[in-house]
Amino acid sequence: MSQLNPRQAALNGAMTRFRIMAIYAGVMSLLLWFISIPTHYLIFKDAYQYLSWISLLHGFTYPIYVLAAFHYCIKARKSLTSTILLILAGTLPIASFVAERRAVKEFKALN
Amino acid sequence: MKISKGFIAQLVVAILISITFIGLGNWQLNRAHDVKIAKQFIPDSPRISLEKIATSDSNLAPDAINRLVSVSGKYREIFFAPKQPLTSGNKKSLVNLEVRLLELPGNRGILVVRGIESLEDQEIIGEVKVNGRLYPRQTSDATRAINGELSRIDPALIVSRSKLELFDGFIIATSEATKFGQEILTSRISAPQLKSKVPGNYWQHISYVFVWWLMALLVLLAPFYNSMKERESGGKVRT
Repeated sequence: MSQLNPRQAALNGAMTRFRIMAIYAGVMSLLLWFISIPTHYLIFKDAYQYLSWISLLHGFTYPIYVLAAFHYCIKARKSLTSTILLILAGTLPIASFVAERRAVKEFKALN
Repeated sequence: MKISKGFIAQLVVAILISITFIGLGNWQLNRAHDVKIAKQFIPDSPRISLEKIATSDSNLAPDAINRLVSVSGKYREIFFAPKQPLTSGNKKSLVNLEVRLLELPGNRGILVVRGIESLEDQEIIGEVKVNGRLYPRQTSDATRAINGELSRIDPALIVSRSKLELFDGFIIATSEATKFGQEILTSRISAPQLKSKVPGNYWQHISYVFVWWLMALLVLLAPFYNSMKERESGGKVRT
């Protein structure tokens, strides 16, 4: 891994936590939107009892994503609008993956 | 420290949004409470009059579900609910059920499941006293329904064709008697306590409570966001 400059080093911990939680929130959102919700409302209601853990886990771990994103935004000195969008990205499938990629790009561009 | 008007405006907006989020959290807390009540085992006695636990113009309260009720009225219409799942011991089968609309005094009505559909309609004239268990309306169709049939046992399906104010939910009758006390016999079905099939639902709502309250806290922090960034960077920041 290449040497980090001082700004990258200061942001590294918050960035890593945010990346982990962004990927996790993305996976959970995909499961929620494309497996749990369609099963519950469209396909086969009885099967939902075996999949209720998805929404349960997503509900309890989303606050961790929110805190990780908030801390990262403070550290990275993001605008309030960017912070709100980054927090909301955890609720939509794919969006948190995009947010994570952008954050990595910005992180690499820091000097 | 000088406080600008802009900051005060931001603070007021943040407080208003935060109060909304706290309200949404409380709403989820109430839903969690309702789910908990719905899962609780409610003792079957004493039997209670339907009018004491439900009204015709509102949704069925969670603590009214599963209660043994009694109600008196006159049967007005007959429907059939085809392919309804019936559990007898470990055996599951599909049966056609006879459902009647019971008219109560005061231009109100409730659906009563009398039992398994018979080949001939049993004529019931005059006032009937029905004992049974109160259930919430069914939300998914059991089959496609034709005229005179109900795809699910749900008063919403007949609301347009009835002039009565309908109670939410329905009763599975365990016994019926005429006003002279003579019992009316038919092929009854069992009326067990309804149990929620979704384990963990309570905790699901509790998790949403945490999410909304956390959001409320973060919104309250929003007006102080720039000063937090300044403190983090130790000076003026870009926005």
